[in-house]
Amino acid sequence: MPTIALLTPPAWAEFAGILPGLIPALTALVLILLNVFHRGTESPRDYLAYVASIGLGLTLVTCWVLWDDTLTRPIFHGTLYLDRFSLFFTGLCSASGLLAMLMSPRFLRSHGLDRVEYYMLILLSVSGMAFLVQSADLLTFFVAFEAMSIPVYCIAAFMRRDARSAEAGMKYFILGAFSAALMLYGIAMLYGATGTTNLEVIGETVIGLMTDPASQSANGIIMLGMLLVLSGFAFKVAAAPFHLWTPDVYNGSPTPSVGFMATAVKAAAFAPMIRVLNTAFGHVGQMGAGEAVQMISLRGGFYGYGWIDVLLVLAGASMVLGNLVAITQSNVKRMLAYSSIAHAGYILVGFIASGAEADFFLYHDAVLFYLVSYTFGTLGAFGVLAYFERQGRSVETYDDLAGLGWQFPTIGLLMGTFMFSSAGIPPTAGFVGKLYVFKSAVDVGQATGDLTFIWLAVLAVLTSVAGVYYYLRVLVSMYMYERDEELEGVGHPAAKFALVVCGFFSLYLGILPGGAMDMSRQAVIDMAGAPESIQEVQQDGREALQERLGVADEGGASDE
Amino acid sequence: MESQFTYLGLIVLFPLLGAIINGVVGSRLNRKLVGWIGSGSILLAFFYSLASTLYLYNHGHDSEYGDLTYTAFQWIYAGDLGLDIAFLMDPLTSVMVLVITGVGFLIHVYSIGYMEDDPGTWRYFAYLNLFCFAMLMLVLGKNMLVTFIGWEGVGLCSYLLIGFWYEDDANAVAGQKAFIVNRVGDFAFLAGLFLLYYQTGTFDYVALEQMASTPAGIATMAPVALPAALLIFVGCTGKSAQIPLYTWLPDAMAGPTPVSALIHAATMVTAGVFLISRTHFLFTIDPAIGLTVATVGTLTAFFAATIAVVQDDIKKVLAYSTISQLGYMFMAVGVGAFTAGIFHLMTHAFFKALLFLGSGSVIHAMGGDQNIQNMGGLRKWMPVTALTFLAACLAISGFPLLSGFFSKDLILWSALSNAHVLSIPGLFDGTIPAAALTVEQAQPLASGGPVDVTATSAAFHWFFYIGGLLTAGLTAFYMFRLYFLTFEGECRADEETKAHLHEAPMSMTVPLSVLGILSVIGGWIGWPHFVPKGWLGSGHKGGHGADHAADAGWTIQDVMLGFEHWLDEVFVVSDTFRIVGRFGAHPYSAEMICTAASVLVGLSGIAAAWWVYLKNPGLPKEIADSVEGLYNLLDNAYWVDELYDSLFVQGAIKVGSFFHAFDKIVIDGVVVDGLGWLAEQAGRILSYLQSGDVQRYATYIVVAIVLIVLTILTI
Repeated sequence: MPTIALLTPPAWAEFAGILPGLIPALTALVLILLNVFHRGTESPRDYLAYVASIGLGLTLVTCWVLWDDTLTRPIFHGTLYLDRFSLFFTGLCSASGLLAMLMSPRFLRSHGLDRVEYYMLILLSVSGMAFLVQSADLLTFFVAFEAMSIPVYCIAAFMRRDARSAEAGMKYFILGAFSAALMLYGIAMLYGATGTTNLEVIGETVIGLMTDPASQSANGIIMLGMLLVLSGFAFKVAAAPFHLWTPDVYNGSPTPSVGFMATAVKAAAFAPMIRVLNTAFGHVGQMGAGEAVQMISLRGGFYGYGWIDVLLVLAGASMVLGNLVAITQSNVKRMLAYSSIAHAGYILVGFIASGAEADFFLYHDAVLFYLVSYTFGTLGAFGVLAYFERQGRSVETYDDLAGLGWQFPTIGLLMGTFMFSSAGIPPTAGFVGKLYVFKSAVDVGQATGDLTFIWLAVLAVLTSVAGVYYYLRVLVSMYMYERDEELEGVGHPAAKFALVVCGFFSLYLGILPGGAMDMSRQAVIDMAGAPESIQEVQQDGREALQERLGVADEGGASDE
Repeated sequence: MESQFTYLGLIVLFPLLGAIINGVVGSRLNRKLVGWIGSGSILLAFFYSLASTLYLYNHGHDSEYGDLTYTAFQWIYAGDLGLDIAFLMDPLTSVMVLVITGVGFLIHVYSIGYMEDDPGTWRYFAYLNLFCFAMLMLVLGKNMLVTFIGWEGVGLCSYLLIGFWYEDDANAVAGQKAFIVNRVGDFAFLAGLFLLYYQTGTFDYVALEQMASTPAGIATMAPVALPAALLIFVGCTGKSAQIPLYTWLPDAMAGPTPVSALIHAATMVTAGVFLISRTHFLFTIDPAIGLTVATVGTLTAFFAATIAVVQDDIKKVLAYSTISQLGYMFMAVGVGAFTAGIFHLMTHAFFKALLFLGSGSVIHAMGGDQNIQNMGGLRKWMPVTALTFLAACLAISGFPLLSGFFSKDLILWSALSNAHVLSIPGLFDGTIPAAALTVEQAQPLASGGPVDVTATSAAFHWFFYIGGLLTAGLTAFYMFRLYFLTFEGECRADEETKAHLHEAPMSMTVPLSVLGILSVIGGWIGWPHFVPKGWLGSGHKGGHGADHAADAGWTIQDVMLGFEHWLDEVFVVSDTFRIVGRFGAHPYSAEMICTAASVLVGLSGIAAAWWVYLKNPGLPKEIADSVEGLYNLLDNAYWVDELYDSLFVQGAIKVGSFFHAFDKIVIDGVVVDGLGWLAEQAGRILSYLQSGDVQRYATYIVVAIVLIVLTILTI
């Protein structure tokens, strides 16, 4: 049943659904107002970062409050969802933006760019992300997608006197626009074939079209449209071979914001990817029947040539390319850029496993958890680089890092945590994230008897071994090489705080992943708009979770 | 739920807080303050242990004290595997917790005086608190994994504290030896644990115990009971220094003496005894397990005692004595006398901690000299130390009415009188499956008459008893050899040392005195049955807990057998269905003979020591010369260290160097460097894609899409 709302004014309860996106946007307006009253061009504007952080903190709290008040039906005439799935991602993106902003003031001042626009752009981007992860319609989806992307292009070019930054912004913008155009073209085709932009209706219509022999000609258009939309996602999550912008953009952009780009943008792109692919193109017919072969062709399955197969190629290519090229880099920022491509590959492994059949839908919680663990590790790593960066002295090659571990013991320790987490060494969050993702691939492989999943997991493990090499090289530089000259010690309490938070979660989620795992599981179970086959799985998962938590509660009660 | 946290959570939390405070800011604090933070945290833990013990006592139902549980957090849930960090407090745990925090507190206070001049005081107290935390985790764990975390934690702290004065290589090496030998045991423990989990699907003690008390459950458990229990037992031999893994303990004496008292005498080394008692339902399933455990215990007790006879280092004597006493405890749990094992664990904690602290006081006074041949007559200078040391010596020798007498006597009596149901002829002669063990009460035993056991079983039990009795004699002998050589006779120290001899400060003598009192009276809650029941008449009212509290009228018998009643419910599965006394229901005369024998043996040991070392001081040398071979054998501890060294250590080194070469040439040279080179070249080629040219990037994207679309649409 498509759950499209009738054309009646939205109920009051629905307005709660736009709060997560509204708060960052309003905060951005507050920042402009505050800035008007700022006196003196030289005085620091750190407080703007704090106000902006409070705004995002408020967004986080809103997500927390709304967690138990989600709706299964789309709001605002079928354009947005308010479900835990979107709240989870909004929360993650807000946290990422918040930490990135806290890392920024000192960096911006030292580059003579202590301006309000920087924080505004991040806030507006987060606002776009909030709507993006909620979108129930390809139109809201596309608008939100651009609302997220355009501020990020501007941030990339923010250090406008720096040629590399300008180049980064330009490249990101051109390629982003190019990819968005392709995506829009894909959306147009889907609209042409189905006559709607609503995800659920597309999902229903697609079945009808695909099973109807009379409309075979539409199949090609739907497939092409889906692939073009998919290419847009692949571009944003930086999966090979759509990754080419990544190293250049990450290298040139202001370092603390790169952390934001690498984590929040990636997470915000994965969320609609899960939603769009599963809702609109996720119907799985019974295997074996003659017409069912047609029906599963959008999703694919191994070598049935659907989106699963495309993503399989992308995942393999991303893991291999990301890790191999990262080895050869001498610039840490570029290395991290390539490693983020590799991470996209690992996430896609979990994505493929959980998307392979409707029955495995709950394995998406591994993807969500991986994104959380990845966020803290990567954000922290870029934060450390930003922490060391001074005007006229960028700290971005391995040589630049030499000996810094001894000079800044706390930061060194934190960097160690981030590198361990990114490399997936226990007891860090990255390890648990990788474990769950790879385990989901192996589990699905065992359940389906399809060896491809196992080989994918093997490839993932092998390539992540290569990853250990370049991550640990950072620590080798920081601790085992002598430094010629001292780096003057200018820190910033907010930046340090943000780094400690990242470090704390990188360890906490590695040692006690239970809570975050449960939240991921709930988010997946609560994802609204999924087709019926998936809804059944969600329902089973909901019951299982209730039973487990219920049993745990009872266990506690019997202790009385 | 809050109340559970107050009871169980705080017991664990205080030592951890102490460790954190001392570890993080301790280096900047005043040394005295560090000591009091360390001691205070244990004292608080002790108060909460007392409170929770009282809670158990007051909230007991009918015939049970019940238990307290507290789930700190749910750790991992993945599929069927659910792991909680959960704590369980039952009467068994309460005894352990009280010993750990009570004796631990005294040792902490003692350490304040002992470590006064050491610059690393904060490090010392941080480790010591951390140790208490880990040890409490070990005993409070509700499932085997929490126990294992504590198990590894105490191993780590032990390693850190043995090598506390790491500037000296020998100490660091001793620490490593302890660590490595323990690793062998831990590996076996872990293997046993997983084996058990694989079969039963749970790590939880309560669930396991329930399983072990139903026929269906036992049928599940029985196939792995023997291997799992033996593997866990190997783990216990590592931690509790039994044959074959005892060699680390004498070396572990390199650490500061209070550490030896706390870790290597009172608490950590008894973890094995505790673990077997905790999983007693597993260890009594198959009689072979118990016999193995008791045999190892008996042999260890005897051989360690023989080695102790010739040692000249005061701490080495005590180390071997500890090994020997631990052997007793294993003998006890092996024959199914878990209460006796735990009882001896407790009294041993009192008097052995006292002995170590006393020896620390002596070493302190002697300026670091540990050789008893250089001492003598120290009583003159250190009366408190001498008096308390004497009390402890009497207790460990089994002098009547002192704590050690009661516990050792109970062990010896149980060793002789206990029998496993399967070893009784005609009862289960192979026709009845193991499952029956839990439902069929051994009916023929209810009649109360003596039981006919198989000859093998009887032989084993006689062996345990005689071995234990001989060890008791040896124990009395070497303890009084130690006492006489140290505190009595002429002082053999040089003049300079003599001038410095002094009694220890208050912070050291007070713990000594408290432990001295405990060593004397600590056993008065576990009299042999013939005294309260045979002589004083059966005044026991039956029923515990609430009944006690309600009428508050304890009979003298209740107190005299208090320890047994307290632990009754813990071992009910084994005691009711599997372990029987073979001398009938009221074997008071046999028990009395047994007691008399052990008293006699103990006293003759003391007398012999007096004769040899005080009366005829030249005699030891003559004896040593006349049986030189034997003396050397004992003095070198049966050359076991050397044997292990040539067998395992050198072997391991050879294998290691082979693999090192293999690693260097094949793995590192060919595989790693080769793969690394390949990866780097591949990466270099791929990075050529990254031309920096936007138009080309866009082209790549288009090409990729076209390729994908063509592939898919052309099928």
